[in-house]
Amino acid sequence: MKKIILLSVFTVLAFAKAYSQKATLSGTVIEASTGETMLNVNVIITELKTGTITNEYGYYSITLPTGDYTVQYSSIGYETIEKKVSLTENVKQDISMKEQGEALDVIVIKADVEKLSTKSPQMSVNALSIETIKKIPVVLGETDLIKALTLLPGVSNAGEGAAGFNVRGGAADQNLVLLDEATLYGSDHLFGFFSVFNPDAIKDLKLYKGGIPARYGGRVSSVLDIYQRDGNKNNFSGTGGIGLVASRLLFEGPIIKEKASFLIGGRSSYAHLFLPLFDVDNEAYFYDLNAKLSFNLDENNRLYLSSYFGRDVFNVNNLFGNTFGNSFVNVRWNHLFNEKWFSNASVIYSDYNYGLELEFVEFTFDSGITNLNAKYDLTHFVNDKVKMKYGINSIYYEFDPGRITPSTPTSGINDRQLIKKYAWENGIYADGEFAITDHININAGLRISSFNRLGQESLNIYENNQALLYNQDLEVYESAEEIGTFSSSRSETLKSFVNLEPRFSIAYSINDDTSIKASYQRINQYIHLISNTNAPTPFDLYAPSGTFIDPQVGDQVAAGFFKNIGDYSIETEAFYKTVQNRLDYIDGADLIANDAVEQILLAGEARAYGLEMLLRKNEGKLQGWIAYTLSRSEQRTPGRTALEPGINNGEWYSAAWDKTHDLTITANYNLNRKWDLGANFTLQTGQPITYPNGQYEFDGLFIPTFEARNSSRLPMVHRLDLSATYTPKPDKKKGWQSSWVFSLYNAYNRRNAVSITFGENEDTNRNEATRLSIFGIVPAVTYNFNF
Amino acid sequence: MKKYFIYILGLFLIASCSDVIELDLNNSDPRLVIDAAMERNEMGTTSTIIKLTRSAGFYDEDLVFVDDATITITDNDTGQIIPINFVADGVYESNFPFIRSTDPTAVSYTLNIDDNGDVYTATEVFQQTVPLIDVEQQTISGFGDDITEITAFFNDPSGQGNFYLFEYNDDENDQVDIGDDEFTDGNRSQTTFFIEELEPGTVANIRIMGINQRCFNFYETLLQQADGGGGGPFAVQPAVVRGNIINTTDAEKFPFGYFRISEVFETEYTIE
Repeated sequence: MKKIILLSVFTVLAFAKAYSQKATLSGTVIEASTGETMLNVNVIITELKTGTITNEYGYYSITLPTGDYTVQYSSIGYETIEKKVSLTENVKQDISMKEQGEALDVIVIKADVEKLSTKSPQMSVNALSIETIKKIPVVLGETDLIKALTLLPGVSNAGEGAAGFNVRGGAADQNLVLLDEATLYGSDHLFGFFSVFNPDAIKDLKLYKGGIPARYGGRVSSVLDIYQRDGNKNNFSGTGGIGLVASRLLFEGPIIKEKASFLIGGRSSYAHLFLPLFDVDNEAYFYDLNAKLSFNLDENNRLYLSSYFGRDVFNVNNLFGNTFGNSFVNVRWNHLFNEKWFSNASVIYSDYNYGLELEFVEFTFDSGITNLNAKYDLTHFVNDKVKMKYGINSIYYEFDPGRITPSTPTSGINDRQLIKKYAWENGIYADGEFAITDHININAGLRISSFNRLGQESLNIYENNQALLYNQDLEVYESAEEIGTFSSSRSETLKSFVNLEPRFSIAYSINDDTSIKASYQRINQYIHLISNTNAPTPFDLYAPSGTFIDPQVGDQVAAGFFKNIGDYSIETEAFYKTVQNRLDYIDGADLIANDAVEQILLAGEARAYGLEMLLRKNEGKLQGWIAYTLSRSEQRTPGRTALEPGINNGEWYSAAWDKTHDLTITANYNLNRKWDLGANFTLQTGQPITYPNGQYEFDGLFIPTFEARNSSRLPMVHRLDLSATYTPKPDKKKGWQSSWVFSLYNAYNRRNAVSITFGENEDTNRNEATRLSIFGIVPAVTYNFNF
Repeated sequence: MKKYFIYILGLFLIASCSDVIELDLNNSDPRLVIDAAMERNEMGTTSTIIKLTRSAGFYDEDLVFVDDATITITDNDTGQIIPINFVADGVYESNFPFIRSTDPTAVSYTLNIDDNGDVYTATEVFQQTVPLIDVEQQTISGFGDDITEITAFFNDPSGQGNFYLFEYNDDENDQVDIGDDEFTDGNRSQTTFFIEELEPGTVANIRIMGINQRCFNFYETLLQQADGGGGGPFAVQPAVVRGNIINTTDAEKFPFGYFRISEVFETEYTIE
């Protein structure tokens, strides 16, 4: 371990030594009209054919031999700025970029973040600009970031209406979803029909499917990193929209002109959504609140305060009440030590809460996960060839499996707090980007992660440490009876894990437009989602690793070929991924309000492999992409000994979200200045399903018997969605500006099955197979405005 | 918990549609299905009823009765072997007073079924329970057809870890529910049935039966499977539901079903 750290330190020093007589050009790039910092702006030193990009806070720094240079700042959709710089000493140059458009006939979509960089070793990353996402037709017209992501190769979900998303065959709980660096524990509203992100509040997002940099940790499959906007530092303005499902309104403006800004936005669906046929006592709705304050304290210090609060609320006839959602607050402080050292310190509090009230059982149930996360990240812009990042991260978790409280004086429920669990997760990393030669760039990093399961009340003790037994006579798994319990203080550690997570990517540029890349990553995931349904549900809770549960260990290798041809780019990647200690559940396991989940768990493994292709057209009147994924995602849980069968007889079975073929075509055509047309077409292998192979009757109940798990498939899914965006006054840049988005989901009304259920027809008493499809053709209109 | 969930799911299905499709399915080999219960009621009478059928193809309509098996139950205290006699349509019955009045839980009983050379056995002990003390009725509207909520109450003995099997029967409906006292230990507890289109004047029979944890787990898995499979985001993984009966001749040909010995209390309730 020490050797590796020393080696990387030496490498840096070696690079630093190799140059002398150098000076640093640095600064922050902002958008001229709003003062919003801009990410991923290209900063090119024309003479040296080298350059850099701005970081997530709009900052750039590049150290060069002294001399006179032409520096080009470019970002698609913005006018390119060229500056002559005489670099004899350090130069600080802040840039403000103006939007293109007025003079041009073609309105270019701000798609720069999506443009392919062939030189960077970073691979397996998809970026989508919020402008692109807003033009993608979606069901009921509600712009949906997660649904947009599923149009990209390697990203899928467990079917229409399923919560979460799956990246390269990984499970939904294996995605790290960050909103302004805060971890979200659920990305959906209304069980997966909508995502929690208000599009107006989002600046940018990046999805890492592989080659995940060392600064991220804690989830084995992917990182979805989303940035909220800072707010307009120049003028007060508003943005909003009225749709069929929800309406949104967002205000932003300067607190101190050019120095400090605020942003506050809300979105709410209409109560009684989906319930027009029922009487008025029923409610089902969701809302989100986003708020952000940002302050430029001085040249070298910036402070950001951001927060989110979202809830889903259900109330069915006062019989069933249900409220759940995410919230977070964070404070971030950017500090520039000097032009070469950029730092960010964050303190983040986030929580996921689930509340349930059942009137007829007379109880309320409250559960959740809370964490406090402190991070410190340092970037060292060593020179134009080397960039180093270092950081530490410490997360304290409280897992509350639930408190059950009687809701009436006559209730038969005992007040009970299920045993809370505590843990402390730490990470420390070093990560470097090195331009080894003109052709070879590498990104090498190492993360050391640790997880301490802290003391708690009443940890169960089992004979031989076996919480789950196998009854060989009856051939069933049975929970072991605890032989005692152990209580300890939270300052003690019950079990600790320390792991090394190497990350490595390399890019070889064949020429300016062509490269091949390869990457390897290892990531440990210390918290597990306890869920035995195909897609996550709000009931599901995270459980920490500890005495009985080992962390998930994910390894992934990927290799790819990347090429830019004029306005087009081609990306092809192949990947192979394995996950150890993937949990599975014994048959009939009851996961809800279970105080001893170790009694129903078996550890297995998962693997996924595939080939992804993305052909993209980034410029011109017609833009869009064709994405194709050929992949397989499987899981198996063998018995712990030769005498046990495990789950599904220990055989591999397809994951619920496994889709062999997945093709999407997304296109946007700029007809004229007033009309933009969008379309996407999806063609996918149907999801795995388990067919019955018989039936019997027991105690008046009809019981189907099943084939091997997930051994059949639902019919193929295909669908065409259309949209048209109408901007009545495209030249209007001040005052009230508006546009209409008309959309048609499932345009040819294909009845795609989300499930086939097997049961008895109530009238004929005959068994039958019933196909369920959720959305037929759904027209929608949304009115968007800003002022 | 799942049934509450189904309500929520129902809300979304407004926008959805379902249709019956033709689907060819494979058929697995038939297995013996054993529904065996020895029950003692509050009068102290023991009755033993065993139903033998065979599992069939998914679309098969008629139940396959097993009428030619030889069934006995052994009192493992006295060694006495009592035959259970065939009645009709796969049903075997006995009124032999197996369960004694003093210390009834001290004795185990072994079920023995010989089905053409395949021998199936299971051994169980008597599980006590408590009487139902009250029944309440409430109507839930707002879901199209009115649903009648029937709640039966009982006093859970404290500190024991009790498991219950409940049955609701009227001329039109049969429902099964299970319960444990994990969250209600020592309290006035309840079981709730939801029944559609229930006419006032209907006479319902509600039963409470004592079971052990293994039987509770069996029913829990069984009820999950009865609800489902079939994919979709909320689908629970399909499973083979294994009970407490073993095929001692050929373990591969394991049976479906369960053998339980329960104390039972019942109450009649007329729907208002």
